Amino acid sequence: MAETPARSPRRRAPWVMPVAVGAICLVFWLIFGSGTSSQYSPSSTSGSTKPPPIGTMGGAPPPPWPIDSQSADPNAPQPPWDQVALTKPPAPPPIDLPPDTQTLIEEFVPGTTEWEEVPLVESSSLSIRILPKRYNVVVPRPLVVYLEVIDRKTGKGVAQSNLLVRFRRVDRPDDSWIEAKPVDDGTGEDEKAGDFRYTVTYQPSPSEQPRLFGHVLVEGVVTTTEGGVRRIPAMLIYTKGPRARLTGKWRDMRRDGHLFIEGEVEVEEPGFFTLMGQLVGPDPNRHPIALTRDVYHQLDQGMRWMTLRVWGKAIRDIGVDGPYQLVNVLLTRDDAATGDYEPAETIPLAHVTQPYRAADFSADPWHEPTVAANDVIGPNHPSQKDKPPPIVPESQRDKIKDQLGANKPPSAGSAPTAPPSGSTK
Amino acid sequence: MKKLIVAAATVAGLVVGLAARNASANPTKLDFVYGGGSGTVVFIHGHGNCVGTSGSDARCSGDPKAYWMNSTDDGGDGHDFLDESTSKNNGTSWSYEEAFTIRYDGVNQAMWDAANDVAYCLRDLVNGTNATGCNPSLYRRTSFKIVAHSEGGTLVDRILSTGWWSDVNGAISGIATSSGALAGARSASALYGVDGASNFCTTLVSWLAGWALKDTGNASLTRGTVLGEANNGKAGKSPKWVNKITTTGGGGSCNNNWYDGIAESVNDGKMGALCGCVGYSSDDDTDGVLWMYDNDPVANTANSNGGKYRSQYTGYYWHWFASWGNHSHNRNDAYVKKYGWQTSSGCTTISPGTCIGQYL
Repeated sequence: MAETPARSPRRRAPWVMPVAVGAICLVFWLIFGSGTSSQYSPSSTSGSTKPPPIGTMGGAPPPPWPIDSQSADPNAPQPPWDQVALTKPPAPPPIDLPPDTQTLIEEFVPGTTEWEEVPLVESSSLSIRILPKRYNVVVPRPLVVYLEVIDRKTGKGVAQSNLLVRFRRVDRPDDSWIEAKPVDDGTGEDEKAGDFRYTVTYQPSPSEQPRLFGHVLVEGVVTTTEGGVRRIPAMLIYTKGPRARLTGKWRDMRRDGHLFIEGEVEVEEPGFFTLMGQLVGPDPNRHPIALTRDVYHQLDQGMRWMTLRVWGKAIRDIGVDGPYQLVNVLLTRDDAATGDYEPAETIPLAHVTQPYRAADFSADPWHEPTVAANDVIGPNHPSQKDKPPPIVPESQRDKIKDQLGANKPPSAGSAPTAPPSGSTK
Repeated sequence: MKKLIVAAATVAGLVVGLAARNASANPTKLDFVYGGGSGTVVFIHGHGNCVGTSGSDARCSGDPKAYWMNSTDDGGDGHDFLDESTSKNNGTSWSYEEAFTIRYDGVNQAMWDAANDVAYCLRDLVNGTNATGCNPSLYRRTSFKIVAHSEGGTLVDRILSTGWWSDVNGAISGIATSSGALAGARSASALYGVDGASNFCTTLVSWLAGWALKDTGNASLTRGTVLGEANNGKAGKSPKWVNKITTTGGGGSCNNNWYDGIAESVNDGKMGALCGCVGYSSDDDTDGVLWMYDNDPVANTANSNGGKYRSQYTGYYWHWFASWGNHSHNRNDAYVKKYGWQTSSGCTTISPGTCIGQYL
């Protein structure tokens, strides 16, 4: 490290050390601070060793080198006052809908996901992005993945010459990758030639399929002169489907003040299935109402029915009259033993109900069942009396509190009594 | 005789099937850490392998408290998050809940497999059984709260959202996630693929070695993956309120030590570096590992005390409070000795365990 020369070998002037420290900090800033510009870095890097206050451009992070705890500035602003003042966080209200009915604010599409994005290199405005076109891929659909590098300043794609996408089962790290070269020529499922969004449209062969069925790790690989080899991960599910299908036959009824929608399922192989759908109002508004699910329902082989119940209050509160539409419907075969599941294709519009009125449904809230205190098995239950004791018995915990000083107020001056002016975040 | 053989084979198949359904992929460990008479809390740690197999963390593998405390390696001061989170100040005395921990392997398997392991271990606790091997002492608790950190939050959300273990869901009486990766973690993708990409970010975050390696668990925690699972109904559908402890955002919430020196600070500078490297804005819930919407997703912001809007999070996600503590400190309450424990009047959100103990 550079150090300001001492005035004399034996006695330094008082100003020497602060100047030396300042110089060292300046060197570090020059090396590290200016090289970390990104979309979010502040432009106001003034050369100070302290970040600008939060709330200014970007709210700069502190210098990116490890800080020794002993060198913390005692004059640094404390954490926000409200973090150290005694507080009581707000508690949530009671839940008034059962587990099979949840309020829907906006439709979402099963079987899809969102772009993954990371900086290509830390010192540029380029980001690498990847998106599986379909998160749920059911044979015979191909695996389709979009890969691109964009300039965050312009939002536009940047031409690339060295790209690769590869696939393997996520739980088989020793398996060999299946590789594919993305294209930007409008072929396969590439939407538009020359838009610098590169697409892989890969159809696994019959011998490759068993290697991929399940959760598939997708890797986008981008090689550039500035970044070298950079990789970005994504995931998709590849299956033959749930070995059951919704036949298209539905029926709906109002019962006990709630809406019941039943769908016929042709089950090829017995198992456990979940049916999920979104209830919305009629066109053109298609007002979202509720998410409804029939979860982990065991079905034998043959023609069966699954039932979606929408609790009346959810419909009554929205106040939208029918006929209602059951949309974005997904059937999955679930295997709780492995955590895997096999989804079907999402059905955009599965059923339209009779023209109910919202006022026809019950306004009654749902009440969570309570367990009688006597039915709870805890540490004092006879069956638990002779179990091995905890590492720290309850009888020692007061003593531990005393030893840690938990019964004394914090040391004077450590907890501000009022919000300081200009406190930082 | 033939019928007998067929019958025996059928029975054997059924037995195998049932055993497979109850078996976990990787080992889990249930530990009874703190005694208490006011209830039971089960703690689920974040990303890491705390069961001693390949790639395991020696510290948390050797001690069920280790994940939740300031160790002597990094300025230990003798207290731990488990204790704060199961203590309630009644004015002149304390009352205590029990603390159990579940340790699992979050490195060598995807998060859905880890969730399975945790779920089956919880089932063993509910039933007083040991089908998974996690509960050899056959402890039984039919009602408990869950407190989870980081990836632990993702696992708990999956257990609740899938509904595959309704008996476990039924036993849960309260949930808190501290920096739970409920919508995945940007760091999981940002630090993926160290090979061929020796860069500024990855060289400075050795504490997050689990993130910097291409481990299976990490690959399953990217935002795209968790959001894809949520769109399929396997996340974001909790039928019970998940009380979210999020982060305040801002540079201080990454490198706490820069602003307020603290003994446990080994990880602080590195988390600050990660924030600076990968991108940061004052709008982020930035805590050095998770940022932007990841730990505060909700569809119904109006009725959930706020949160970050995500349409597929139709379940019950309550924005309980934001903690200035970074991703390391909101699992070990590093500031509790400086700013105090909970009292009967309140808690300090900089030490989230004090709020869990007092109000969950």
